[in-house]
Amino acid sequence: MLRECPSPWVVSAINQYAKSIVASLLTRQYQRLQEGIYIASLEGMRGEENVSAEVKKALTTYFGSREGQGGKTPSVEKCISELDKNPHQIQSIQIPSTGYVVSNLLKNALEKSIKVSENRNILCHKIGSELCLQLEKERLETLIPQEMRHTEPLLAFCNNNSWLCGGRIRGKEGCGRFFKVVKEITLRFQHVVTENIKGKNDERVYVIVSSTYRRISTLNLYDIIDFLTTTGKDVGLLSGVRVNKRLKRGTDLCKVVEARENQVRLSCLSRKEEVVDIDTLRSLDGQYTINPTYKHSRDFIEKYICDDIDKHKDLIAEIKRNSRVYFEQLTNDVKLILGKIIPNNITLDNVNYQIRQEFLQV
Amino acid sequence: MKYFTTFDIKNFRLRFGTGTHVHPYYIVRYGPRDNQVARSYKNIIVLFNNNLDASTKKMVQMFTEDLKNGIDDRRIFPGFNAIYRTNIDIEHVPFDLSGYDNPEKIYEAFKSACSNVEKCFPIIILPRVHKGLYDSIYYRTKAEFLKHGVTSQVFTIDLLNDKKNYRWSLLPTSIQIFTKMGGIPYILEQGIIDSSDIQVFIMGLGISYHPLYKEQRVGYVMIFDQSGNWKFLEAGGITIENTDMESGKDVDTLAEKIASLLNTAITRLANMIQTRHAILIIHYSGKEISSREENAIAKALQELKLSQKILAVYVLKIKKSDVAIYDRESPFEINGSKTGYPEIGTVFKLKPDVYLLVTTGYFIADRGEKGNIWRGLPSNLIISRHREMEKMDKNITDINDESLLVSVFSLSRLNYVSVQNPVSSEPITTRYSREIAWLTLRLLERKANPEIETLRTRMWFI
Repeated sequence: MLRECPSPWVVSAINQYAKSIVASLLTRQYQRLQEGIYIASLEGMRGEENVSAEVKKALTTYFGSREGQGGKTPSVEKCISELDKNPHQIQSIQIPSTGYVVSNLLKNALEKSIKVSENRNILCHKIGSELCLQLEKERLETLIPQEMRHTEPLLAFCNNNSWLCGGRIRGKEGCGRFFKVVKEITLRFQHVVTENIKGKNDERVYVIVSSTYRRISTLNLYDIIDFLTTTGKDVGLLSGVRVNKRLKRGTDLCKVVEARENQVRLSCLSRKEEVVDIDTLRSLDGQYTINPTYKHSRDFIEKYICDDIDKHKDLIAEIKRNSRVYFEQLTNDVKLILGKIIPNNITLDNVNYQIRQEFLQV
Repeated sequence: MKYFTTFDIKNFRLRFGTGTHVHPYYIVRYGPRDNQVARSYKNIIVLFNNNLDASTKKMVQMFTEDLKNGIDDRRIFPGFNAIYRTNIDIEHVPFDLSGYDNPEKIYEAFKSACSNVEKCFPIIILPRVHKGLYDSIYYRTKAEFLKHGVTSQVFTIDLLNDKKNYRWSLLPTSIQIFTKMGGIPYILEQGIIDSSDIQVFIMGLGISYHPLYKEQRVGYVMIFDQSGNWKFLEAGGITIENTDMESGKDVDTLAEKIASLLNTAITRLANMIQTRHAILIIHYSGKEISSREENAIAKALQELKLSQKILAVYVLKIKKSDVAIYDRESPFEINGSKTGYPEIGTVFKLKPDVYLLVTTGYFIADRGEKGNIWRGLPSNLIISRHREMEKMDKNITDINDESLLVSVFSLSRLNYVSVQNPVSSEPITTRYSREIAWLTLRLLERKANPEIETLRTRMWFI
């Protein structure tokens, strides 16, 4: 392991900032593959002249982005010099095109290709090996031909509840401002090995697709206070509401003890009590947000912000009624994204992968 | 990926006191497997807020009577003492709270009502809260009682007032109470290996994060024998310094702490082994686990030394899967409509050492198909055998993958919470990682004595 260049950092740097390569970290030996970082080049992407230069450039940008985030950041020079001193650790090897590492490389390649496309705004953040896409009503309408729109339940939902899909309706302003229901499709690449009739292993990579509806909330405490003030409601109504305070590592959970138009007093689980003035709240965008799970917060939201925040659950229940109904919906969803949001082909190191709409039957 | 096998629940019968059956609710007829420890209890005390409305208070009274004497339909619930062959007095005691923000007061009310807290079991009537809330009255109250070495049962006000579900909840609630008292309601009729020479133990191993502070984690190890007889739990907090996380040393620190937990558990287990040899199957929970934790577990297992008695250690990682299975030929229908649900116990092989086990869907136990879900998507588990973490004495024959998978399905049959469901979505070894973690964290925050015996010997987390 490199001391100044932890492997997860190198992988993050490549996947976030390199233009023409993607990386995957194997933390333990897997079958014949040794532990280490596996890098593959993407066709059609122009980067630096060679892999080494591309890695260094990505690391420089990555280290720069970490500055000011707190914590100890080793210097990029030390990291690069450590990489240069260990040229024997960088080698070109051939791996099976359907191997385990490939599934991660494909995911990273797909993510990168979406990031540079017009669809970059639909990517949502998810930790781990999944790629997540969120599609709003307007985006769905551009993807689905008029005659097929009945196959997408969100469109009917949005027609009947426009205030939950970004529409501004009198009396429902809170819903439109703080919530939006979207379709969420998650993709994951799964490596599968099957012994065929000749006793040989047949390796494949499958895309696992799942689909649901999600209510996106942007419950910044500052915006909520602003909303209460502009709609003539008492800011004191926030008393007892739970607030998440984002920390460098983790979250603190706080309760509003007292709220006024110009300041809020919070009592937090970390046993700290703090008073935050409204200007600080405005400048710390997204650091203090209402936690809607707690009963008191939920009651507050339903009473004063938006009274039907759980309506999207009907949509979820509708498509997830049972396996048969879900399978039919999923078939439509795959048609929806394949070739339009995710490409039919991905080429990694000159190997062309085709994504086909075929469900696995066992 | 291809079909591997199907575990038929009829071959995984449960053993009660005087008989065996597929369905857990046969405890009403056959009594519990073991009530020795639970018989030492003298009282069950139902604690309720005196500020509840009159009709709810009336329901508390009825609940107490029902627990004591049973309900009209004796097949559903004939009373606590009748089922568990105990002689426990059941009464209700009020506490005075304007809200539910002071669990210490609830404990005080319990203590005043009970001359010896070791012989009293509290049932606390609380409002229903979301189980995903770390700071809820549910966890705070449970932690307050546990701090004093007292296991407890929460019964919600909503359930008391739910006319439709109330009477069906009495039996499962009583099973939970009995289990937390140290009783064993039922076990599996058959083990994994049929041998008088070798004992098999199954270990649940997990690491969970603090819901708010990422540098804090809890590790746990719990042990069952191959019939599902509960043995013990070891759990402990693991705090990682920020600097360790930055430098990547956190894996070493984690590995060290997990190794220490494992060694404590294995030393304790070695004293329980009565035969010449034993083998250990580890189920480690893939929930909330990243490559850091996984590496730490691998490192800790590398350090593990086989004792003279434990000849082999097998390692399975168990994780809820996101694969949706639709069975075109499923015979299971609801209201005349096809569901596509697969049969519970079906196993698919994804690749060597990686399997998919269906834990919700339909089953056939006696007459026709029944489901353990009625709507929603069936769930399944991804089970990966980690041979690189395993250890084996050269004199022992390898256990095949199917037998190892049996250990997961068997322990999914041990559901002490909802008796209507004959198979849980995941085995008891990994199912409770969050409850164990959150309550352990609360106990650490409250500086509870880690040597409290109840924390090791009782299933306080179910």
